Amino acid sequence: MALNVCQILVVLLLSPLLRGLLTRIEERIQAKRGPSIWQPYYDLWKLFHKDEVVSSQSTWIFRFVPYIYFVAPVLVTVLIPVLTDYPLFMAFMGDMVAAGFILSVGAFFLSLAAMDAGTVYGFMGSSRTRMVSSLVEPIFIIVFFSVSFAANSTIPYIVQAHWVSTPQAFYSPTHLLIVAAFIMIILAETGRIPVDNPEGHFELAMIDEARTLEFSGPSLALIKWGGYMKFMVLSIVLVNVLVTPWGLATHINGADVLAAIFLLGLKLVVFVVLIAAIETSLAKLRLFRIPDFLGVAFVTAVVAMIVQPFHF
Amino acid sequence: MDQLMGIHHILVDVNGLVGALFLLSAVVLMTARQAQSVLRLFVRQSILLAISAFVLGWLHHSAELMIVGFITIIAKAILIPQLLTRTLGPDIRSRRELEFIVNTPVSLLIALGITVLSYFFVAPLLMGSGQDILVNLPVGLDVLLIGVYTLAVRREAVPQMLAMMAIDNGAFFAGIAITTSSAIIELAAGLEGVMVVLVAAILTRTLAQHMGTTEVGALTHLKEGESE
Repeated sequence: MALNVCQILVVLLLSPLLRGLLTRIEERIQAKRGPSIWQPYYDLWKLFHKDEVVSSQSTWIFRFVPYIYFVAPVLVTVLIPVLTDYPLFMAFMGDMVAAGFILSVGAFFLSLAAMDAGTVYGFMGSSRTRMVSSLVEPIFIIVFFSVSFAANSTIPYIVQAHWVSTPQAFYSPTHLLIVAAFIMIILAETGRIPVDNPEGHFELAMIDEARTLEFSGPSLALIKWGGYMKFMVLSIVLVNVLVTPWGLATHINGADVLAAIFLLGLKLVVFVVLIAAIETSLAKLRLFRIPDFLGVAFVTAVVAMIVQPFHF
Repeated sequence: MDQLMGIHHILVDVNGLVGALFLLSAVVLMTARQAQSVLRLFVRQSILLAISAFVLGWLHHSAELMIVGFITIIAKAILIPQLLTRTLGPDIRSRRELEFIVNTPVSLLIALGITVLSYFFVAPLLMGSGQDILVNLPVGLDVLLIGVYTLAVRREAVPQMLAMMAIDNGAFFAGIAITTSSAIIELAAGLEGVMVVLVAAILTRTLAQHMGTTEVGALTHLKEGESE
């Protein structure tokens, strides 16, 4: 139980740092100085101390959505191996499908809230994110299919144990293709560059950000924080379940857990550098090119699934 | 002995990964929108083919396959790109978007269908066969068919040429797993490939000089007899 709390705290407290680091590395690659890596914390602090403005046209959805969006990634955290390689207390409440479902519930409610406030940009952002999500959905499902073909399960702890079990499983083409497809999913779902520009401040071009335009003060802080956590949770699934399922704590003691936190940080830094490299070397796609990008991800996932039965 | 077995296993795994990347490169080559990236993908695909040839050559103790790998690298990863950029430099470097007859999502779905089909057709042959054939045969056939499709939907001369060479790559990817003595064929094919590219490049250049474009999809009627 203590570990569960620890797990949640790690995601809760370190996710803004991860985002700050990503922004900083990107700015550095582009030969700019960039904001401090602590900037997301300052932003959250500032927003929590501000007043909130709520449109009189909006309904209860608008008020509740920040909490839903904030809680969703926290819930997912207890389902996935963040620090330990054995299932914790609540790990069997749901599998990877449930995790994906919880995250998409959060995203769905945020879209609802954006439309609830009645601004034009909110509607636009909602419809665009729905377009992207509906294209990501089949890829997610196919990835889960091929994962369950390979590991006979979709519980993240079992999947992770499967890749480690034999080198043959780890170096199989299926594994490589699943990882490639999953990275593309992360880019699309968290609004990173080939799909959406997270630094863009031009309302007409926004996809993800346009949904939060009407929020202010603590609500905006919760939504931003939820977004940071969503990125971190998906990255953790990638590094801990798919790419490098080593270095997790095997026993409950302080030293092991601290080592696990340190290693997790290291893996995430490597991943963030990779994302920064992808983002700085690609241009944002035009809206109607996004289906092409996700189409390639879809083909990758399906090929992973087709290839699977031929290798064991 | 144990160490040798270890190396053997690792090489089989490497071949599997190469197969996956080879297949992916064919799909991306189909959808790439700039001539330069098509060329770059083709070079990478050829290097992957060479890696697979080296791996299989090591596994089957076949010098011929090693030679195939070297020929592939020299002909397809060095000579052909050099030739193309020299004769058709401006055309390849232009950042113009390439056009397709079929839009990309549909193409991707068709590529998916081709992949399923090629695995389906090859499956009976794979019963009880070795790990290398398991990867190379279906992937090679798949890349070959996707290459044919790419050739059909591209509307420009340069990508069409590269798609043709990708078909060649697919055939060899399957071929190196079936026979271990194809060096002479590959030598011939490599040289022929260079020749074909040379001739096609010169023709394309002439075409570009006459018409100002290499977009063959736009050439719908004969020009002979019209006054300049």
